[in-house]
Amino acid sequence: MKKLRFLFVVVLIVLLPVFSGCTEEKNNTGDDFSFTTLDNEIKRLSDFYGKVVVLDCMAVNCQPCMYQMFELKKISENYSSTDVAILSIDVWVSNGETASMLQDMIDAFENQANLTLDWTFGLDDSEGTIENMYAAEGVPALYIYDKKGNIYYSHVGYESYADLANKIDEALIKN
Amino acid sequence: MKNERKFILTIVVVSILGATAVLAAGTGLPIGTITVTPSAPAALSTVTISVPISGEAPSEVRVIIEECNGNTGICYSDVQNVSMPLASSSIYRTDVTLKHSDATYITIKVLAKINDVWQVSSEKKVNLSVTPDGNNGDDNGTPGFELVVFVAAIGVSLILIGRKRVK
Repeated sequence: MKKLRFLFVVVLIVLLPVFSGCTEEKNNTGDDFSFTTLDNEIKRLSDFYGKVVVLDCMAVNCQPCMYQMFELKKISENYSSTDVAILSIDVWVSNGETASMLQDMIDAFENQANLTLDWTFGLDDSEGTIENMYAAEGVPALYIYDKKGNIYYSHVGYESYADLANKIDEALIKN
Repeated sequence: MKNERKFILTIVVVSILGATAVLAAGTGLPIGTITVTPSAPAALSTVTISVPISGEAPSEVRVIIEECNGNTGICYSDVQNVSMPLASSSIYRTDVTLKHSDATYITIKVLAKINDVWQVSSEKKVNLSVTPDGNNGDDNGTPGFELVVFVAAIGVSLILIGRKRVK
């Protein structure tokens, strides 16, 4: 009888994750990827290893992504570029967005809001490689990488400066 | 104060989006005003989108529909890019079924290929009406049916063990 009970408990423990609906979090590997900058340069995430990286998977035709720019600007102002790199990558190239649309957006921020978006901007490829890896659900999708290139934090949807800054501070301390 | 800041930000963002759309579209557009029926559709419902296009007949007309949730600040990546056939004299129309139960607004853009050049309309934003039941069966990451099965399995097992004990 005791043996049966023990077996039952073991089976329960083994099956608990299966039946509780828990799913493994995706995109936690920090895989390297490449993107094209507005200067037509090919850059890789690994080029920024040694810094905490804030990856902003965004789109021009996305209103929350525009709000996100104001929060990223605060990060750009409050953290040294030697410690923290911001990468805003347009991942809706597969939805027809282009480098000129992205440049128009940056110019519009400069002209309409007097806000210089002074960090790295780039584009995903036409197959949507980065979109599929990091923003399959939606945009903006934000990732904070530690200095070794591991994903420390991720969030889909608009995120405030305060919340991002907390995570950046933790990632900076971690290394 | 917070609301005031949000209001100012909204004006700035709308003007930036507007400026971007105008730059993308150019001037003297043949694409008229986009009409959406119903005017305030519900999430997951089917909407009819129509647009008049003047001048030379386009070889292809497409509509791009994005669904966003203003509360979580997310625009879903599965953007719909649908062909718009000619419905009547210079009016192009199509029906589109929305995909996300928690979307609070959609944005619509029409693209018309005229003389092998894609012309883009300005963006139209449509707020969605709130539905009493927003669940569309998508996996929301929380236990549901699986948990019920699990609890039931524990119950049955306990009863069986209890019976064996009595014997």
